[in-house]
Amino acid sequence: MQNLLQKYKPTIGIEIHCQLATKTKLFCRCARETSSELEPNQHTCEVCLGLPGALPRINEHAVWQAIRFATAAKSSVSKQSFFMRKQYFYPDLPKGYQITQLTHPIGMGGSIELPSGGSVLLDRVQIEEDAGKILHKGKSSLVDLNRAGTPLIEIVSAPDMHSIDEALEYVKTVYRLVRFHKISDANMEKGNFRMDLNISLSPVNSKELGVRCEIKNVNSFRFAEKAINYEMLRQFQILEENQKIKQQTRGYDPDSDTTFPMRDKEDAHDYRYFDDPDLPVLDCGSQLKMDLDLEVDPIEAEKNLIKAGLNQETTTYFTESKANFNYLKECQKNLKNSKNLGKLAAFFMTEIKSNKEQDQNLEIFELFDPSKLAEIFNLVDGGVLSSKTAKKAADLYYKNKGLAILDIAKANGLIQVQDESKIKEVIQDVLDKNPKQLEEYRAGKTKLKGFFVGQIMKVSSGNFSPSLVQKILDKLLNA
Amino acid sequence: MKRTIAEIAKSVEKQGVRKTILDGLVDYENQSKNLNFSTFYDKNKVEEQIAELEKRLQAGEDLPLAGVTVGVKDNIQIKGWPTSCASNMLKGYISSFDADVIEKLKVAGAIFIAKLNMDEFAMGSSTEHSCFGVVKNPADTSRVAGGSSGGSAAAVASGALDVSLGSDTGGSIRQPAAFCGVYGFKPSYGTVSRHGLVSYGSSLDQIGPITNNINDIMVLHSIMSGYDDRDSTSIASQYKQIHKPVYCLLDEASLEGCDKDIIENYQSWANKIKENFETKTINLDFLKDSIAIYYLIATAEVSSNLAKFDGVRYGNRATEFEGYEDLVVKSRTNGFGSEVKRRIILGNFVLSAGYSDKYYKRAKQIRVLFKEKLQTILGENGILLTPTSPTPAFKIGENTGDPMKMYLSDLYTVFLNLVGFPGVSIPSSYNKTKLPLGLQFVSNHLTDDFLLKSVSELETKCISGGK
Repeated sequence: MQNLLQKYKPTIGIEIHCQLATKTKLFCRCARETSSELEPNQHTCEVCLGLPGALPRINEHAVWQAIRFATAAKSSVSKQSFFMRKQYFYPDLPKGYQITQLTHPIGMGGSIELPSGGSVLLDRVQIEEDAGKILHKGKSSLVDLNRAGTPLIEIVSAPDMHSIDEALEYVKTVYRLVRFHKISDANMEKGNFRMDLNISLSPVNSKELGVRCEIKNVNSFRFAEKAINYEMLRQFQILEENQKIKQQTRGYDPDSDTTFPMRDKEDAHDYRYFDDPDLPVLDCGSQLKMDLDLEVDPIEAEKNLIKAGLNQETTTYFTESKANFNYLKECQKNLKNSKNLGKLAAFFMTEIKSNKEQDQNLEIFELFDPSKLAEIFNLVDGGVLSSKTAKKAADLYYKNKGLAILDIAKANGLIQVQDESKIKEVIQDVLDKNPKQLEEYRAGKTKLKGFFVGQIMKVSSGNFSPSLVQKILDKLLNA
Repeated sequence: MKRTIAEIAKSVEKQGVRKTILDGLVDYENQSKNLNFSTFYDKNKVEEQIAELEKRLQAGEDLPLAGVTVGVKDNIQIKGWPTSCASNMLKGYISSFDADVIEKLKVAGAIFIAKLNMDEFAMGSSTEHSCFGVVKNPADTSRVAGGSSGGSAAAVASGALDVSLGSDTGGSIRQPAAFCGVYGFKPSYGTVSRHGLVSYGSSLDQIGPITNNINDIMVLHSIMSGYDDRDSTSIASQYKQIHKPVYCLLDEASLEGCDKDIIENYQSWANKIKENFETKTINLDFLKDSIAIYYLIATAEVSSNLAKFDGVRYGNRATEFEGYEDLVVKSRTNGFGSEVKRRIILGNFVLSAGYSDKYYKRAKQIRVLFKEKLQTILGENGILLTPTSPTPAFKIGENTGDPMKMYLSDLYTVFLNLVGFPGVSIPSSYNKTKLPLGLQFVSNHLTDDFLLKSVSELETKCISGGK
């Protein structure tokens, strides 16, 4: 790879096919959701089966979702866009054409800001329908059209990336964006988020792009990394042998981590695109007036949370979905000292999220009331609870949701003792009961301070304010 | 037996719906055999519908079409009935849903008697391109009934059925109506839902009625039209109230190429109209280009619309094949007839890379210009009068070897589909050999009610004492 990069500049452009989160398909009222439990062709009707006489009608919600992505990606949303027919024969394509967009897509241009800085330019965002699936059984092939007609957006980047890292960061950022805004379930195993990777190499000093190969339908980030890596090295080898790269569509084989040729440019289809006469110009005026619900940018939010003192893992969790982010925001709203947000978030990760794994299917807001979590930290801040009793309080609240944190703390003796004379009395008692150790301490064996702290904690069940214990113990030991 | 919807309603009142329907059908089987207008007829289905109708009438439902026998062109779907489009590709295909117009007619109490013969997938002007064989003209059985809705026109003209439905992509309702001597109406594009109509040219297709009089056209259109959300090109329209039509009459140049009989008939009507109404004379020379534009657009759309017939899910499927491609090629090769194949190939050509800009896209641009030009000519209250066809019905087999000649016979009809305007063909007279001659009336987009009312009024004034 080192040799390659000294001589060549890789250029990568990526098309992402992302299924939109809608109740129904793009042009009919069949349920969109596909699962392995469905019978083949269970979610089909005359429209998505391509029966004679059936006509498409647009799913307005899908259009809204597509506009949301386009807006989040700073793509300019066309008030009027067109649907076109892309024509080819394939068993999983019931009408003999796919309804898609080409010349007037829903979004033109745009860019995706990467968390590490920099950005990737978009060419366009278009709405289109997905095809069905083919199941091969022995000598015959069966067609399942449950997926046929489900709504997709195709996010087409410009050839604007020049390293594997950048390409991966781009696809992961898009993935985070669509999941955060619930534009897509982006379930990669279900094929809800698929990537076509266009890769070319050009001599370092050349301004012209090299001949590209497109690797179709890659459905995991790991595979994408391996496929780009393999493809770059493959092209490098060809160029080094003074051979020409053939413009090709290739597939990725996850078993061998290699790419293989599917078809050459000469065999490319003539798709005979034309405006779909069954669908009038798509007027997005009404959707554009609707609330796009895009106030929070997860990449921006991540930066702010890191600044607020959260570590990367915690930040990633709280910017993974809007629910998680809103949860933290709700905590923050109830937190008296905003400096404690990092601590609160870390506490949530270790004490609530990971301890309550059996309840992982609960929505985050159901897991633990955010105002109660903030209350715990307000009490810690005020010295009423210690970090140790905070955990206990959280545990007890979890078992008895609905109670006030302070009541729980009081009822279970979790309140930190702040009364100096009482603490002094107990410490004096501990010292009196351990004269030998006290003598050794005062003779210079200062390590024994830990022993006294332990004894005090035992007697007080950890309810004494640690800072007061330190202060008073020091004073009495050195008296 | 020819009767109007109003007469049928009286008959139902007098002698009940069963007798009214059966009376209407006395001639049906005989005529159907002679003229070959039907692709599907099942007595049991008729019986079932009569029984259902009797129940609904007893329950007090108001059914304006009770007793009316309706024939349906075999590209409009009725749930549970075969829809063949007169093609081997779809022979034996049973529809799983009702077309929107069928739903609406059912609500109004219509009963469906038969599916009617047509040119394969509605491509043709003579109903000679049907896997069920040619439909004969009731006025002269050695002649064609026109097309593509030849079966629909012949069934009504022979009196075998009261009314029928056709589809019109480039004149397929109006031309056979003219050839057979009946009334045929192509509504404004978007006013009648295409849901359930097997598409030919999606941007051109409209469903419309064929009847024995103008009033029945009005009755049926008011029932069949209306917004349907299953068709995205459907329009929810409020017709404007327009009074006082100005009739736009063709100058001599615009009648060039028509038969002498046709020209004479046209002039005699023009004179009658001049006596009774305000008129102006116009030139429609630009219409000559409309044939080329029409065939570019219609074939492009149909090449795509017929791609779904691949032998995989339904319809004709090759029995022996190796692999998917072979299955598609064989199923389509032996499923489609020659005229359909010709238009699919033409359509694929005009859409292919390198030619699309030159042909298809330019045709679309010119189409827009046509619309602007015609809108200017007609204005809000203009009604254009043209012959429906340059000739009366021709002999069976006369034009089959010459597709260009056949295409040119659509001169006065195709432009209407390109611009989406409404047009009605009425039987105006006969030539010396007793062949019916049709006249076509055209008005601006979404002025359908105005057009039909005006034509009705004109008939009363110009034909003294009515017909």
